[in-house]
Amino acid sequence: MTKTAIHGSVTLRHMRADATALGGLLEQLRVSTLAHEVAYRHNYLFEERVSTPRQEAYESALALAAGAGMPGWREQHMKYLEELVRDPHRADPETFTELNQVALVPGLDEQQEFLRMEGIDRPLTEQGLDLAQLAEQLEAFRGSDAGRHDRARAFLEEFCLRWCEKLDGRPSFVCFADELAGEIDAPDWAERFRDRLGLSQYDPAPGTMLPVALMRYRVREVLRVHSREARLCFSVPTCLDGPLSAHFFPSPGAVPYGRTLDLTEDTECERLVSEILHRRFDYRPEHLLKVGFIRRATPRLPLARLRNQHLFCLRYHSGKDAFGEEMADGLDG
Amino acid sequence: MAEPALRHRWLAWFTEAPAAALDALLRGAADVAPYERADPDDLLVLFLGGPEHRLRALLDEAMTEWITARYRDNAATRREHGVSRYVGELHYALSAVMRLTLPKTIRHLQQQLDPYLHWLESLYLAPSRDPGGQLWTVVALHQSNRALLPEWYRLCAQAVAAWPDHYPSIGLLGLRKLPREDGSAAGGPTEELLAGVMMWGARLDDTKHDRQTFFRQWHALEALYPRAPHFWRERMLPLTERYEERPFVGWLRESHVLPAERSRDLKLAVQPASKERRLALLAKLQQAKDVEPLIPEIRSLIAAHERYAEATGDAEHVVRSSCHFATRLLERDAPSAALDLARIANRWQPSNPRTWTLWAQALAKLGAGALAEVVSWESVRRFPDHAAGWTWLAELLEAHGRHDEAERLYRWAVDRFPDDPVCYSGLGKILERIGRTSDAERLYRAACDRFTDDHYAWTQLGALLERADRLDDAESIYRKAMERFHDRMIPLRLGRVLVAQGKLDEAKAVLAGMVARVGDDARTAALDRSIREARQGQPQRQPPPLVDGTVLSDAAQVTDLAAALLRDNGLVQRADFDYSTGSVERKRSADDLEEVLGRRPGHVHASLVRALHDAGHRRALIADAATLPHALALRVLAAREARDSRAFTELRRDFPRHQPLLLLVRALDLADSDALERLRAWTGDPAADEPLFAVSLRGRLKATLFAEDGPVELAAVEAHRAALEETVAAVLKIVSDEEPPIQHAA
Repeated sequence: MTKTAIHGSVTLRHMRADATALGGLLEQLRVSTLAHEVAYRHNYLFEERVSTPRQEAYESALALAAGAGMPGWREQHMKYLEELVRDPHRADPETFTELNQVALVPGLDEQQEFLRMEGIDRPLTEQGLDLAQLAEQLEAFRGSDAGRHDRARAFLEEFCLRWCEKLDGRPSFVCFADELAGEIDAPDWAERFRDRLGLSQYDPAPGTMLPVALMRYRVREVLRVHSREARLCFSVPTCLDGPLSAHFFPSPGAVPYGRTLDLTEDTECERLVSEILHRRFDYRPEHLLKVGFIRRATPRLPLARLRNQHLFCLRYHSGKDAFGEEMADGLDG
Repeated sequence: MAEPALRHRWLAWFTEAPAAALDALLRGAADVAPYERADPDDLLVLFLGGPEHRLRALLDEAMTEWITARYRDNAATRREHGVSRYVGELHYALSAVMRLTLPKTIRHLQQQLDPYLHWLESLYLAPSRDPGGQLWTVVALHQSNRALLPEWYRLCAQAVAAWPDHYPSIGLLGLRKLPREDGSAAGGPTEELLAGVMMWGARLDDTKHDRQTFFRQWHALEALYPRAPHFWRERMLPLTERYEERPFVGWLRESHVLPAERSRDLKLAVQPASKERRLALLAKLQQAKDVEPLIPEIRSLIAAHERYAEATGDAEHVVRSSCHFATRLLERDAPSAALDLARIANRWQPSNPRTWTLWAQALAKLGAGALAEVVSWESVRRFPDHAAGWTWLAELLEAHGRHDEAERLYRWAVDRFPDDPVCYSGLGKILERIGRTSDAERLYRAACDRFTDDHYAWTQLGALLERADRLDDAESIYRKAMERFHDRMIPLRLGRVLVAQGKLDEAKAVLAGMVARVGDDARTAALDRSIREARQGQPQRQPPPLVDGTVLSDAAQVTDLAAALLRDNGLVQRADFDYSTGSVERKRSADDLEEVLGRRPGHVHASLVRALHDAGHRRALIADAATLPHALALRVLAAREARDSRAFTELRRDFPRHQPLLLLVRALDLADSDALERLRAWTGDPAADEPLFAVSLRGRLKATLFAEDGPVELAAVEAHRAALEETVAAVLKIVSDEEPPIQHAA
């Protein structure tokens, strides 16, 4: 189950399921009937960007009791994330340390623009605001009335400040603006972004809407905040940088970036979007590109079909036909 | 196929086992695919959001139970959980309560606001892991009355100095969402909101950063409430009157929000009651035989002051008048009305020790002795440098017949406040009561020598001699006191002693002197009457009573929530005192602490007291303190116990506003001369409106380590080590439970 590849001077290889409690669990998941559990297994085993020291550190931090099963792994994984990746007190989330050197992206063109979609129901509620008020101020901020512009700027600055001070240290998933330029002006831009970026968690129940914001900013703005850690500022997402997720899919080590898992069919392999992670970044009003609601539920496609199609596209684009493993049809989910 | 949220398997589990399913979801152990990347609060909104979800009531119930269970978690549970994750779960749980508007949980949080704030504030890690701030936000967004108005003002006014940076915004949110008197939404920029902005603005310095901060907030409000310039001007002008000297008023003038020139034309619609009205009422109260008919008038005056405080945040009028009238009403045996006024004053200004003492005194007079005692213990914990709080508590216990405890309190107070004559007289009374009259006399005589500018000890000594029927000696003392002091009670007492001795002509001369000096009043009339009665052969003298306090009933039981909370604090403070004074009550103290910590494992003050007096618990703190990451007192104790320089560095990072205390600890434990020098600089440079812990620390340092000007060597730290250790302990006790006031649930 191991495989090596060369990425610069660093040896890449699939992660191993050793004779640990986690190894035992991964072996059990081989025959799970739940598609998402098989996906977790695949994500872990086929991840090529987690270095051996990081994997060892992760597995020793897990403290997974034998027989803890999936609930135990989920919980221990969350504990790992909270303490080593998201902890607001940590100067360096593990994602942006030498331990994660295989995944680090040291040299990005500073002029490139990122896009990131954020759910904003929480900051709106916490600040006693609604989306209409935010949208009105965003419009005034972009408008030509100087007086209104200044007040709107202050309003948006205050909103961003209060929102961002409550962000923890977790890495931010972002894509590049030019790859999704065609979606920005669509009337249903919010759903389109959600689907293209694989943000399955933004799934409004019937009769509800999820307020979201589309943020746009440049690489250099992130670097300016973290100028002292410029070399440790960006990385390709790995399965250890976020929760266990069936809608995350590691990309082959030969591919320079991550690839989002589209929530819709992509039979032509033309909808993959590059994604990377960056360190915590506090927004300012000019970063608010759009705000709106997600009204439509996520597409209900079988997970195995989505992931197999995604795998096909990854292999197709990378030329790594041996990367990963297809999921069996008929799994639940 | 991905499951729609409405039919998700977690919902099926939740329907069958709500507590377990909710706990698993918040811990991150639940199977929530395909929504794994959502945070726990997002998941709950996803699963149970939408109008009137059929399972929302079930979640409401389960959430209340989950929060209640967390309140009982101990250090081992938190440690096993991982502190960051544990705190994160609470943060997200409260966020879900807020976003889903769970009514039962919100009511529960409102009712338990005080204990929960005490608990959650000690768990603060960062703005993104701030369950205490989340709790404040929940109650700010869901106010059904105006009970928290003083709290919002306090957050606006004090947050800059004592709280994390984002707390003033919570105070302003509370004011924005404050309902009208009738419970309806305010729907616009109210006077209260503007007053809050002013209180917060007044704390800002004349720096570019603070100016930008102010205008960001100000323009954000203008954007949220688009109104014409005159609207703001008319409402702001009267409010800025008391802040004319603060930089933000100048900023508002420069930017033409306010006119360039100061104007007194615009007055607030709400004004405090006039001084004339207050003085007239006080005069009426003094003359009235029956005060009951005057109580509605007093209430009306205080209500006017309180309306003014509500509109402006300026609580000086209501606090001063409430304390003044409460004192007079206690003197006139109207404790029920006095209690109401004391509570009003305490609600607005819990940082004022007088409000606590009055509260306790009113309770005592009402017969609620047990509650009076716990309020008094709380008072001395909060204000350990306020001698009157200690002497009143001793007086209370003495009146309960608890002479040993009262004596220990007085002895401690004499030692702690050697310049306060009341401490001596209180101790003297107890000594006299238990038959040690000569000890009492010695004590009073020592006090007379010590307090050459204060007549109190002289009159107490005279009274003791009267009670001992040593009238010649009493006369001698009163005559000496008359030479030194001009108090009007001394000639009266001398006159009475002379009458009792049959020296009526001399008494008459004393009376003449009194009349010549102050004219006729109640005192001269009393002495005149005594002389006339003596001439008629009537019995003359009744020695001054030994104890002036009211006899207390032990029947009062502590029952309601606020009282229970106070009782726990009182038990802890009493245990601390017992331990500190080497009392024989150590077993009772240990039991009390165990009892409190059994009920409230996150009670920082109880943990602190236990660790201060028990080496085993102190060692245990090395592992446990980090599980209450914002409990400064426990963290300091743990760092000192571990002698871990990294722990000291973390303290400096986590508690930037407590640097002076940390400097002192570094000087004591690490022989850090740089820390000592910085501490000296801080001690000599007091800021306005400092929090209590800073005032206490500075006062104690000035009395010991920095009693003299100029640089201080580390050797001085050794010379004052005992006093400095006591200082550290005292400040730790103050900060172990700094905020908020215990009153909401009462």
